[in-house]
Amino acid sequence: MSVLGHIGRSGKKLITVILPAGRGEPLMQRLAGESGVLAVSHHHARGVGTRRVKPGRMLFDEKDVTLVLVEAEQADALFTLIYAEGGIGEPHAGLMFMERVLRGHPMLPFANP
Amino acid sequence: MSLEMIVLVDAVLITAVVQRGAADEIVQVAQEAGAQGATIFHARGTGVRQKRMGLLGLTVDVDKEVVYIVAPGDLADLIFERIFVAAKMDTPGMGIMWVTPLEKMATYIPHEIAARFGLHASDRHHEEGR
Repeated sequence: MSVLGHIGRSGKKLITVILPAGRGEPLMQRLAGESGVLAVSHHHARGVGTRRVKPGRMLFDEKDVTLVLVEAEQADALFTLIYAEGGIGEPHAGLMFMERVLRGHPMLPFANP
Repeated sequence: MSLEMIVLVDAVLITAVVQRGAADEIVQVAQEAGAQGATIFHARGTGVRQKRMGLLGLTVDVDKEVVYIVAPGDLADLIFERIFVAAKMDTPGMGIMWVTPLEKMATYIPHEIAARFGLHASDRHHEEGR
């Protein structure tokens, strides 16, 4: 196996945070310098819950989906931090979850030879 | 804001990639099967076989919708099956879907629901004090 076959194999976790629109960017900036955070990105989405405009007609909310790649050792601490910083404990503030990833590597530029 | 975090461990993420415009029906059937909600976003994609479908491959839209549904583990198979049928996933070009296990998830859980399962720290202390 080449050296590339080993890159990113050590433990990593992916934390996904679904937040009301506008909260993704501040969260991304808050996490950017945090120890154990390898990469953060976010994109836009729409969310639907159990609320309805009228029977049979869904009510959509604007959402931000933030993806955070973290080192496994710090994953639990960062999960708790994101819960607090993202205000996930508030009603209608979204949800977050964590998954194991087989390989993960932050987007780093290769050093010039 | 609630300072204590209730973590749910028996949850899965159902992801479906479907043609644009199909997501609403998927969310509807998923909710009828017990899902609480869904997150939908736009994407573009094509498959290696898609180019050979229909006239010049034009019948399959490259604009896609990606649907995220976080569901309890015991409902995952039912929701998956309902989406599979509603989205006609057995027809080539209609989309793909998969289920991944979640290590843990957290969201706002109303006090009365958490209390029903004895999950709030204040309730536990109250019980221990008796």
